[in-house]
Amino acid sequence: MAATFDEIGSVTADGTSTSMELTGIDQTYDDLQVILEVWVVDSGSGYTGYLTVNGETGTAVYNSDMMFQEGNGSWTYQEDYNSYSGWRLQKLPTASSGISSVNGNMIIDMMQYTATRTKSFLIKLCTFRPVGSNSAIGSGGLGYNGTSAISSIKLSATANFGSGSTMTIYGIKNS
Amino acid sequence: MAGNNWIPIESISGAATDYSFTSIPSGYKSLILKGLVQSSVSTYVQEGYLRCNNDTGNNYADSEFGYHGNTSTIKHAMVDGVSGGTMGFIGGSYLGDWMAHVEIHIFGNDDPNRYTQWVGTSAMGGGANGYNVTMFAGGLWKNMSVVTQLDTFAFSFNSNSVLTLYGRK
Repeated sequence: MAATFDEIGSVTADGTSTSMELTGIDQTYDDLQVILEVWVVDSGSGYTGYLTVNGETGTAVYNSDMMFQEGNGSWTYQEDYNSYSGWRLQKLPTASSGISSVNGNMIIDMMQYTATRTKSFLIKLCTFRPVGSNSAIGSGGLGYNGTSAISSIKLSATANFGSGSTMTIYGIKNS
Repeated sequence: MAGNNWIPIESISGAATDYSFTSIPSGYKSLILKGLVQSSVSTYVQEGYLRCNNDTGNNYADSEFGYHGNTSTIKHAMVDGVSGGTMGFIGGSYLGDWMAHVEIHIFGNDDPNRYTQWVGTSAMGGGANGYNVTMFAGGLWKNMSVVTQLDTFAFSFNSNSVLTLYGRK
């Protein structure tokens, strides 16, 4: 039987909150796929958001290795180890008003999210504007240095997420 | 809950200069193009592109990042004002029978308030050192119209190629 993708949670920002969170994630699937389509209300260049799970904020919980191509022609390889209170998601598109014509799109595969051991996840990202240094395309590994099953996921920033930004979680069954 | 699965919309296969997915229904939050393909162009690696709604103007930005052709030089670029966004990197006829896996996720396709954007991966084992591909690719169509047509560009698929378009509610 082919794997199935079931939407098991979705949240849409109204432009007045600095976070989006989904709790009570169904524990009966084999894997999760998280889709982020977001932008941040701000007049500056690309914004940084943080993704946390299970309400955990300790820096020792979150490790990541990211590589991405930027619009200014440079490329970045970056390791975060015990550095931030969440996985760091950089270069989220911004708009100071109205609705952003570009969103940052990210796909996160969380395999065996209920396993009671450390877990490694994969992110593919495209925070792509018409060329500029605030664009990024690439991928990364996200390490969860904890042993709990993933039961909640939260995306946070220090500015509001733009209206219409979404976080959607799909549950995947292997059989 | 079948409505939330990847819903097959259309599958195209066989030798063709380009594949064209037409009359794409609205109502999908995202689209996925996924398949096994190889180019008939006399080369080792062939880059191909994606266009929306038959727009052949310089209304796209594109990006690529990763390795292909060898294992010591990273390939990276991001350009604006081009006539298509990168969809993937696949093998050419010099390789013999080596198909490449391509998977692209397309966002904003059904949202009249934002541009359509895609990101995905290409992977191929070319059977010998220096002929492999691991690439990330992306594109941006600077138009807020609902996407009803997707066209590949510059791939020149061989007879073994197959590409399927899925929608996600």
